[in-house]
Amino acid sequence: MNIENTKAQMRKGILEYCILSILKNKDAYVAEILDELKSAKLIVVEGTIYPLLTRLKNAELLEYRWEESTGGPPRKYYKLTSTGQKFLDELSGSWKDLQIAVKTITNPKQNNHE
Amino acid sequence: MNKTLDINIANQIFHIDENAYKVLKNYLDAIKSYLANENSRDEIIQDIESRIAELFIERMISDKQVITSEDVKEIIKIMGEPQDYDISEDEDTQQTHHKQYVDKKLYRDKENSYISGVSAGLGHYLGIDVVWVRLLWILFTIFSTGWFILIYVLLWILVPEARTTAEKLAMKGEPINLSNIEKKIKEGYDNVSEKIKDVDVKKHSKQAQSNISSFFNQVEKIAIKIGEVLIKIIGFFLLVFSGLGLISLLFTALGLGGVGLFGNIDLIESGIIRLDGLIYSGVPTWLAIIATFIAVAIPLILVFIFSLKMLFSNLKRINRTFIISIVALWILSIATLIFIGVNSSLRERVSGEIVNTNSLNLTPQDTLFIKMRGNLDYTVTPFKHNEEKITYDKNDNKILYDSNVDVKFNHSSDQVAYIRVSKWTYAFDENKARNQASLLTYNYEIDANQILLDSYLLSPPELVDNYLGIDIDIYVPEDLKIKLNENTKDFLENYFHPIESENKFDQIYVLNDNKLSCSSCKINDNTGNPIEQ
Repeated sequence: MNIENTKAQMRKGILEYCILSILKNKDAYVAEILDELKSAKLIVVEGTIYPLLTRLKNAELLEYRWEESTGGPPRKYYKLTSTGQKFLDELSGSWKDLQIAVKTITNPKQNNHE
Repeated sequence: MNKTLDINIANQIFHIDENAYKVLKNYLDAIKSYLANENSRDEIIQDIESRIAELFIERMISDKQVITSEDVKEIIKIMGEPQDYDISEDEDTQQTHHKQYVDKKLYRDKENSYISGVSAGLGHYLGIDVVWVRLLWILFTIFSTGWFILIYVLLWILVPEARTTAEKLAMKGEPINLSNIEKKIKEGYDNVSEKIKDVDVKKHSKQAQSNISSFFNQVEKIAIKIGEVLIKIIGFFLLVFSGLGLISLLFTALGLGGVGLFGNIDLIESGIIRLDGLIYSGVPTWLAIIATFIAVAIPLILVFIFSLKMLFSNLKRINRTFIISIVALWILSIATLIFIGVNSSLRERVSGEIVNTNSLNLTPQDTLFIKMRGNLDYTVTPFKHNEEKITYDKNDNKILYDSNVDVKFNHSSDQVAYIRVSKWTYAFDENKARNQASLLTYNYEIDANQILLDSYLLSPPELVDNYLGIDIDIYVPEDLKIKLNENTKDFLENYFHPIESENKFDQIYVLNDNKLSCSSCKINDNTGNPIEQ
């Protein structure tokens, strides 16, 4: 069992959820999303995000608009769609359940003592 | 010192040095190969490129002008190795991705070629050393007294060359995954550096191989050029052929439509168009014409488009839906024509007739006189036009007027003259045909030695699409003299003998061997002398 692989799988699983969460509050373009993900140490390299964003967009969870930038190529600003909003709400619910589940399992003694 | 190139990423111009360019290109190619199964690959690549452009711009601050290999390497560090681009939907994909063996495909291997790489490609495909393949070619060519070369040339033309890394891997049956692609790219580098560094025996033999190979490369290039020119020429002829075909078809169709508007000018008699089967099928003529038009036009249109593509290779791709819909339309029109054909053959399966005979009281001395009789209500002169039209009788009732009347003289077996008038139609069964035939109105009059025959028949207008007519057979003894009015000429089915004579219709005839033989003519015998008969 490759520990790196397992870690990567864990991260990839929650990456979608995190991207949608970042876009919940404000629209953002790729570099901004990347900054947040990087500062949270969720991703190390940027490449991962591009196929993911396109996939989310194709699933109509995200939409984008073009915006001019000063001294660079135009930027794609991503925005949650209403389907994306619902999707995110559902993910939030199941994420909370998961958190509790994981806590219960990984700290069983604490729970028993409580 | 390093050469620099100008590149355009996401519509931004950058100066990049040559080595950095190679690294960047390989990186992007590797990502492309890695994302080969992704639907929106192009879009993803576009996004990645514009991010790379952004990162370049960030690094181009101060007086730095050129992107170096170090810059590219750092950007690759930021962006990640190609496998980082892989977002698998399920966890197993990561595993299966490496196991994913592709089927071996036959490509020409130009890297190891003497002539065209066919042998090397076959070697990979069959999993045997290329030397054996070449040996087999030579043996087969000798034993087949040379014609095996043809198969070689055919393979050369038909088998594509392995150009991309992915194709090269498929040629060898190695799975297209990143580590293999990277290996290949590395091999490419090693080959190049090897060529620069080492001067050894292997390199010399490689050199010789590449010299031969480059000669055949030239041959191949020339052959491709000739092929291109040939394709252009063929394309040009196809274009002219299909274009003219379409134009003439269009005019024909317009012509038919125009005739349809102005009444019944007979195109069948004019021999231009054979619509007999269609006319009597009970299907509207316009439908038959349109179906015929489409059935002929669509293949011509396809040939036209095809020839345009042959002439101008940069032509825009033709919409698939367009092709599918016109092919569907073509099939529909063919189906319509088949339906019309079947329908008409069913409608005209059998004939039925109503016969009326009348004896003629003639003595051998009499001369039988035949004359056609028109009706001013329907037509000016009693001519036969193969004409069928809906018109009105004296009481203003709709009626079908038809001039399909045939007159024929026959030998009477019992020395008595008589006339047989048959009204006939075609229908699905005989009863119906006979019923229809009984609806036909045809009149004639026997007045002493003279027969007056109507030049037309009348029928209820419902029979307009049916094949119908009147056959008149006049049976005469062998030596009965016959005189014909000139207006019978369109209706007569017997030949004259001689075919042309002076004042043809002033002469007296007798029936001889089913021909109307002129008995009062000055005719030429075989010697050419005029004789009086």
